Formats: sequence, structure tokens, C-alpha cells
Amino acid sequence: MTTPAPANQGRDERTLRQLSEQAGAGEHEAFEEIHRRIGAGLRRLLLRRSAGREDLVDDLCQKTWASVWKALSEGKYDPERSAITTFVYAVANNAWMSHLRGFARDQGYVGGAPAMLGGEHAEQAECGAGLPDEVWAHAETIECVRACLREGGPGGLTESERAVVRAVAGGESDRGLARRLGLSSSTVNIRKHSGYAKIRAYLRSRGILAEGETEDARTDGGLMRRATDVGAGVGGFLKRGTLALAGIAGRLP
Amino acid sequence: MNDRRVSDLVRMAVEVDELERGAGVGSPRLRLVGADAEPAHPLPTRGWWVGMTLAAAAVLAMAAMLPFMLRPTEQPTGPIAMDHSGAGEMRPIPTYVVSEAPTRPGLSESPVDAGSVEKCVVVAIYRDRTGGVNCVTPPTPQVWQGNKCLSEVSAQELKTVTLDRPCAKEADHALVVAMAGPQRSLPKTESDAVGIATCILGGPNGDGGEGLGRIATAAASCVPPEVAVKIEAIGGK
Repeated sequence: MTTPAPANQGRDERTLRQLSEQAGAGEHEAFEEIHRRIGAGLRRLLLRRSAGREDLVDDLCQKTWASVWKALSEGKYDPERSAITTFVYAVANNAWMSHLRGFARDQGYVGGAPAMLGGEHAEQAECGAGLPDEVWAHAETIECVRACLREGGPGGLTESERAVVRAVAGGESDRGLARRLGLSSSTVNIRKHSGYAKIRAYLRSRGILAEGETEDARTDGGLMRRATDVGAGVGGFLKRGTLALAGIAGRLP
Repeated sequence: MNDRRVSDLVRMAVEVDELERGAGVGSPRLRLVGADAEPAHPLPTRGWWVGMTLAAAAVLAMAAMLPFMLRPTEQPTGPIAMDHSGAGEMRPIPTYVVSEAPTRPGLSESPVDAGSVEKCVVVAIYRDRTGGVNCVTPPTPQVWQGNKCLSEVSAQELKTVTLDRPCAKEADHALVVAMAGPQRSLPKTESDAVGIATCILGGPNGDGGEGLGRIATAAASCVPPEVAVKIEAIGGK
């Protein structure tokens, strides 16, 4: 303990950032305060994911907090890269995914499932060799998305785009959302994709997403391209079509 | 990065925000194993942990329910007018309609255990010049700007949420009581609100000096321990 903590004088006014810095300097009491503040929320989150399996959640929580303490005490956690809450969340998410991978392996999904759930990171996490790099990167990415959702201003998400992407992420369908907001489904869809595009642009501007990754990678087929994309899309289609025809023609006897 | 991945990241960001908003409401103390110069405090075993948690939850639930179980079960609508002469005597004022507080889109319909989600409600106690209670607003859910937790909410914000309520026109001054905690522990009905008002103002600290600190101390003992309370006094007309 390097400095006396002001925590015992009534309500602890320290921010999570301050606490994480103090915990990083080896103060157990600061770490305990972090746990006191977000431990219950994390537990609820894991209970939700595991459909209320208390025993499993106890294990996951303990693994998570042990990993967080290890990262803090070894000076590996960098508050500039992600808030402590985001970091704890990413570590817990990793513990949960490791559990799923173990479950998949036990069930005999030797090939597909572990790869689907993250592949070789599972072994690394379970061998206690510290947190895989993936966790740090994941925390940084989530932090970046949080910042993007928080920030308004030019180029940022509008209030309605923010509401739509949040609601969709919470599991609400476009149609249900449209009904609730009194909008057409297509309007909701346009706002959703516009929001996604801005989030991608934000991640790209922060170096989280590679420049080469574009919206063409969207899984739902690009049916709701923005108006500006339509011309390029049609042009590309015609160009590809022409080349394909030329290729077929070239192979003809 | 496809749409599904972006949506997943948004969901995670929202979950982290929820986690952060819940910060401040206590969870069991954690003791670290293997502290250098200090005696070790082993983490409790799973059975002990679960047993103690369940027992504590049961005791808290009983303690929270007891005052409400002993109170009359009348469930009037709208703000409640209180008789100045006697604590606990109240009559409903059906003409008052208090608008619903805004809710954040997307979260209201999420399949989350509603009882465990951290929420904030505001109750306003309007009083006349003599200190009698004119009316009490029902507990109104409140989401603070920027999704702040209650400890970060300024006095001005507390005042603002109450000034446009119908009872404000009739009152000389008001007490704004903001409470944050697990939804299941927060007051839900008008009679819950009146019970808290009666508890706050009827206690040994409520009548005497009128100091906000003393009232806040009284308020803390009127709600379950997991609920944080913040009180602000505002002048009336």
C-alpha cells in the first residue's frame, strides 16, 4: 500500500480509473473496491449468459478476477487502451468462451466448434499462461465502440442511429423496432446500416479496423446499400458481368 | 468486419455500459489470496458462498418487504395528498397525471432479469409553508443524461426533473428523493412512495432541524441497504 486510501471516510469518491491505477500500483484495497463496484454486475451478466448456473458463474467470476488481478499486478493493464470495466468484461468474456470451447470439446465437436469459438486461444487460456493477446485487442475494440456510441458531432452517429443499433444489438427485430418507433422497416434498416458504417469508419480511423476491410464484407448481402453506393454497386456488377461474359466467350470453342 | 460482428460489438459495448452504471452498488468483499506482507484471506468455498448469499438475500428481502406488508394495501393512482395533521393518513388526488419517464430504447424490451437490473427512481415530496406534506409523486424511473450513476448526478439535475411535476404549483418547497439500486429493491407504487416519505419525514431526523444532511441520514435508513439515496431540497413558488 503506497498511499492511504480515502475510502474509509464514508462513500468512496475515487473513480474507476483512479482505482485501476492504484490497483496497478499494487494496492489490494483499490482492487477490492473495483470488485465491490462491478463484481455484482459482472455476476449478473454471466448468470444471464449461462441461464442462471450459479456454480459455473462462481467459477467464471473467480477466474476472471484472478486474471484481472494478475494483469494489474504485473503492470500489463494499460488504462489508456481500455477502461477497467471494459477490460474486466473482456476477460470475463474470454473465460466464458473458454468454457464454451471446453464444453464443445467434451461433446465431441473436435474440429469445427473450437475453431468457431476461437481456436488455439482456448489452450492458451486454459494453460494459465496469462491472457491471450486476443483479450487485450478485444477490450480495446469494445472501448472504441463505446467511445463511438458516446460521441456525437459531425461524422458521429445521430441519436436515432444510436438508438437503432443499440436496440438491434439487444435482439430487437427491424420490424418490431419499426413498429415501436413508428417508422417504416426500410427507414430502420437504413439507419441501422448507416450506424454500422459510421462505427466501421470510426474503428478504421483509430486503426482498429484495417483499411482494406470495407462494407462489402457485410453478411446480409448489401440489399440496403446507401444511395451513394448504388451507382458503384450497379457499375461493379455490370463490369463483373461483362468480364464474366468475356471469359465465357474466350473459353468457347 | 460484417454487420453481425459490428452488432456484437455494440451489444458488448452496451453491456459494459450497464456494468459501469451498476458500479457503486456493493457486492461482497473480495479478499486476495497470497498478499505479500499480509495474512492470506482465502476466497470462500463455493458452498459457503452460495449459502451465505442466499441467506443474506432472504433476510434483505424480508426486511424490505416488512414495512410494506404492514402498511394498508390501498393502491391509489396519481400523486398522493397527505393529511397534515397525521402521518400516514393520505387521500388520492385522481386529477393529477404524472407523465411517464423516458426509457432508453432497446433496453426496455431486453430479456434481462428485470429485478436485478440497476435502476433509478425519483420521488418528490411537496410540502407547504408549515412543513406539512401536500403530495407525493409516484416513483418515476429516471435515466440521467449520459447514463450517469446517481452519485454523479448534480443537484441541479435533481431539481430539474421535479420542477415540471403538477404538484409543484401548489407547494412551497419540495424534497427530491432519488434512489438507485436493483429494481426489485426500489419503490414501485404510490403507496411505496408515501411510505418512504412518511419514514423520512416522520423519523427523528425529519422534523427537527430540517437540515438536508439529517434528512438524508433518515432517508438512508428508510430504504434497503443496497439502495443508494440522494436528496435535494428545492424552493417552491
